[in-house]
Amino acid sequence: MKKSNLLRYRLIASLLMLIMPLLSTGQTDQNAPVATANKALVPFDIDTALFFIAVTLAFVILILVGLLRSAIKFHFNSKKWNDTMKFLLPGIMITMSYQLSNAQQSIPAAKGSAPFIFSTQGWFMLIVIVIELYVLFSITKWLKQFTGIQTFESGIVKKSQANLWDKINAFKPMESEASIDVGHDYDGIRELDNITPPWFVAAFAGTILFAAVYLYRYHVAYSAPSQIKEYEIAVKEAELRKLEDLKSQANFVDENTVTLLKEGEYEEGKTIFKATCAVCHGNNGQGLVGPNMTDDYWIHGGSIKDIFTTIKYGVLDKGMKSWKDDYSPNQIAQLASYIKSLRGTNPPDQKAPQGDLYKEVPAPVAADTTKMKTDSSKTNKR
Amino acid sequence: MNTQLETFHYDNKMPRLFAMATIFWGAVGMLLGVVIACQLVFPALNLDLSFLTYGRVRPVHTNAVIFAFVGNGIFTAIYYSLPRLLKTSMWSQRLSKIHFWGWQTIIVLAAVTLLAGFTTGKEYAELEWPIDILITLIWVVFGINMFGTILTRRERHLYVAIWFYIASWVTVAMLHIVNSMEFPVSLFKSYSWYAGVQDALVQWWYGHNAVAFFLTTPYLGLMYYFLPKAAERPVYSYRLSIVHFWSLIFIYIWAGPHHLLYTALPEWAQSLGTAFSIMLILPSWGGMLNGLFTLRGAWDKVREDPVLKFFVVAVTCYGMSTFEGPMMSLKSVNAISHYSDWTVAHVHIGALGWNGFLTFGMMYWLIPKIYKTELFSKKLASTHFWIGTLGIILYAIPMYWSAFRSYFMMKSFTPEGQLQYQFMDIVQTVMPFYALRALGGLIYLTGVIIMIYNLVKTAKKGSFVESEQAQAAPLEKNYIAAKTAFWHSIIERKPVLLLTLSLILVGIGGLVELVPTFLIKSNVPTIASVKPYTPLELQGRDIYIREGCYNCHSQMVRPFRYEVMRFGDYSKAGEFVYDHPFQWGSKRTGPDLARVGGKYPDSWHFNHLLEPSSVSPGSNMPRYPWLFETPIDMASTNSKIHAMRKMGVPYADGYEAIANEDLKKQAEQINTNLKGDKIAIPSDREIISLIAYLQRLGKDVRTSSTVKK
Repeated sequence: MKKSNLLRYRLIASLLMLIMPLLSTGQTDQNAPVATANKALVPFDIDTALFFIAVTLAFVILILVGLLRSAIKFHFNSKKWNDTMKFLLPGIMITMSYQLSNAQQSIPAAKGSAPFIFSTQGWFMLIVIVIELYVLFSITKWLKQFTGIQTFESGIVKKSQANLWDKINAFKPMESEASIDVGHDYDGIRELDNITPPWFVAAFAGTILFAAVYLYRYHVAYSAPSQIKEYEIAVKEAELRKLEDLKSQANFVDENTVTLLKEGEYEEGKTIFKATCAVCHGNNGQGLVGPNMTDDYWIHGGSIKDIFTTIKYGVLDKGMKSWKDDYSPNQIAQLASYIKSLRGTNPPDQKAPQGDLYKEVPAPVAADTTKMKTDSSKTNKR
Repeated sequence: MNTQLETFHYDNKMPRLFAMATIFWGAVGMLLGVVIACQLVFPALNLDLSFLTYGRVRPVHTNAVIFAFVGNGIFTAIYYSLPRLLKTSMWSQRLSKIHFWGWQTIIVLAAVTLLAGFTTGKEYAELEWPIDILITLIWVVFGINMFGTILTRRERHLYVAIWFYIASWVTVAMLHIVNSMEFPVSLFKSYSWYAGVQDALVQWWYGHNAVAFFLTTPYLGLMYYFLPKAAERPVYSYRLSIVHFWSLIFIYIWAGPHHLLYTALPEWAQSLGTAFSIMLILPSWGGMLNGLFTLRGAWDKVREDPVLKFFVVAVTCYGMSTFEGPMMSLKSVNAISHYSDWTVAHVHIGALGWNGFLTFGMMYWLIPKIYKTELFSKKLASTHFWIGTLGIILYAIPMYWSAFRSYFMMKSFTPEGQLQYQFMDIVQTVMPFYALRALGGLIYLTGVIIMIYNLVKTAKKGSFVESEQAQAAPLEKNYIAAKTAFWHSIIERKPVLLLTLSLILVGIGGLVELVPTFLIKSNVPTIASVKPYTPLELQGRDIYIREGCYNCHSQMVRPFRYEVMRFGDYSKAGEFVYDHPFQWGSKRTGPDLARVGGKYPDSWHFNHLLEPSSVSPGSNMPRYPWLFETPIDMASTNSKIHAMRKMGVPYADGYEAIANEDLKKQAEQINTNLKGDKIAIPSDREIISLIAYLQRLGKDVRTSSTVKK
């Protein structure tokens, strides 16, 4: 019995120590997203959200640990725990904490590219949250065990010195309840006049302060961005990032540089066509709502550049949407090449030809392309 | 002097009737919830029947659970506790009966009309104007009966439960009347008096406070009676009751705009919503603390007594949701939670945990009491408790998960700056979570059925006590308060003063938010190119509302890069000035439609509404075959246009007379477009008008900016 208790205590001590480094790393970690957020003037970031979850959980853990501590104290007091153990425990705790904080350091080092949509910080926070949840779970378990041995209703708890929980809430001892009875009796319901818990009052004041600062920042000092401003910043940032990305991409294409790809180079185009375009243009490009892609007639030009342009900017009046936000230039290029490859495949149920006969002569089409481009970019800007 | 005791009776018949109604409607409402949850996973379950489609059943589910289940729960609690707390009988047995049968009639009418497609299109206030009037009348009957009882009491001071009953009554009356201002077009059709941004603000001022003053404050009153009764412990803190009662009702009313963060609502109103939501945490927690701390010294009983078990979880769920709610009102968190399943999880923690469990606890306590017997099986009640808890967990976790998954997918970009996922990818991803959620709901419902069995057995075992005799002295005429009495006791013995103060307090928040939004022009900057809907589009819009499209589709693009790229330019306040009612929606099970106009050809919409999966494979949208058979109700065009003009929509004088000609012309045009794509359908079908409306969405602003540039 005693041995298992010792084991338990060691575990708790180690978990306790586990939280501290977590909290501190959590804090340093917070600086990163917040700093960038400040720079960006965007107050939100998923990492920050995760961080807040982590901090909230840590807060809950702290409260529960306090509870656990009093429970343990009470438990050992009543069990007449020997003093040697009490003397030994701090030593154990120190060693444990040292080891664990070391172990903790290694986690942020284990970076690696995130295969999912989380950032590294996001992953880290997620791990922290999982550990925190585990700690929470364990603490509740131990709390149950410790309090379960000596149940609260026996009344011994109240006789022992006030525990942290009682202190936080400014509980009056149960025995002196009669002195704070307000004397009401509503259908047998009595009321006590316990004071409002001090933390309640403080927290209420805190939220009021928060509200005041919030309103001040957004509507008096304008030190927080309006939602439109936030949006503009986000777009600007994204544009910059995109530019940088495109620079680094050797195979960047647009409607001026696109060329017909050879067979085997446009596999992804085929996949996209089947998944997305087939809905309107038919599974084999025979045309449904949208025009036939396999004949020689084209409404908006049949050169590789034309097709690229039509896909990229769309022809909104005719129901063709712009796909440039959905697919990358490379994907559109592959798609255009795949579409060109459909010519003459002569599938069943073809839609009647629409548009003008297109002959494979590149020169006059180029002019057409530029016209198309300006047209559609205009509609796209809106 | 006044030692002469008067004899009177506490009636148990009304509480029993209300209790039965509560349980019955609760089971019905939850069953409908399971049905619609399944429909989201298997759209075939809509059965191609107009009155069984998701868009029509979902409002019945929400209305049934809020107004039928919780509503009757409130009345059960009040009709049982109010006389006992005041040492008197209910004022009028006749009014009690009118109240009971009137309320049940409203519920039945609501279910029938909503399924038939009569709806105002405003969430949780969908009922059409004749029913709205009936609700007002019955609510007044209830109020008279309650105040009659209070004024003929034999207990000088009002207990905290009654403060909550009074404040709830007066606030719900105010909310219902203000939000239901509508312009009748016919017996079962009306348009909201307000338009666009204003309508949105009024609606969510109402919607949020329906949660506050229908689902929360009356149930706090319920808790303040039944929890100390069941625990046989004194209420923890009288002072805390005072602090949290007044702060709660004052602050709650302001928080409505947090349902409209990042929308076209003026930002000052949004900020007020956020600020007051944060301040709301502690007043809400006051109720939880007073409930939980009352159990201090009774925790050994909690382990044994299923009633207290239900109460503890209910109060804990209350604490959780009232912390989560304010967190969701923070802009950054709201960006994730709004339009997502997070909100759905949040309300269900409140509804299943707080309202549900509190109701169940009350029933397990009340039914044995009025049948003068013990509960048939404590063990079954405990089983119900565990099954219910499991149901809540299985409901909530998948919803949270799906909310976060879809958020990450929604906002993720490829390095080239393209959206990484199509909307359909997201729909597909969350499907399994929707299935799990339906399972959670089913488990919860199973628990309710166990409870019904247990309670029926209990009733059979005992014998019903129709009324209980009691004795009390009447109030002395000349009451002089003790000098040591706390100042607040003055309010406690003056119910009319309490009522007035409550109304003033809840009035402040409403006035400060609503009045400037209506009066100050700069709140809704006008856009010259925004024109009223054509008659055909207006008819189509009414079909959009009738089919409850707003239950799954929003019409509000928020200014986020990932939304603008996916759905089109963010929405502006001036775009909605002719929208009676607004249709911004609150949940995106399907994509936003604010700018769907012109995105697809007419034939796409035609095929999509006939068989959604034919043009968007994997869609969980139901089919709408009846739209292809029913002709447009052209007889109503005249009165619709007329009503719109009366509310300030600038149709030319006398336009209603010729409106149908324009309607036919536009219908022919769409008919021709469809013919071009080999689709033949008579041009007078409802689908034509719906296509016209969908193709209009977002077009006004688009043309304007092209012209400007």
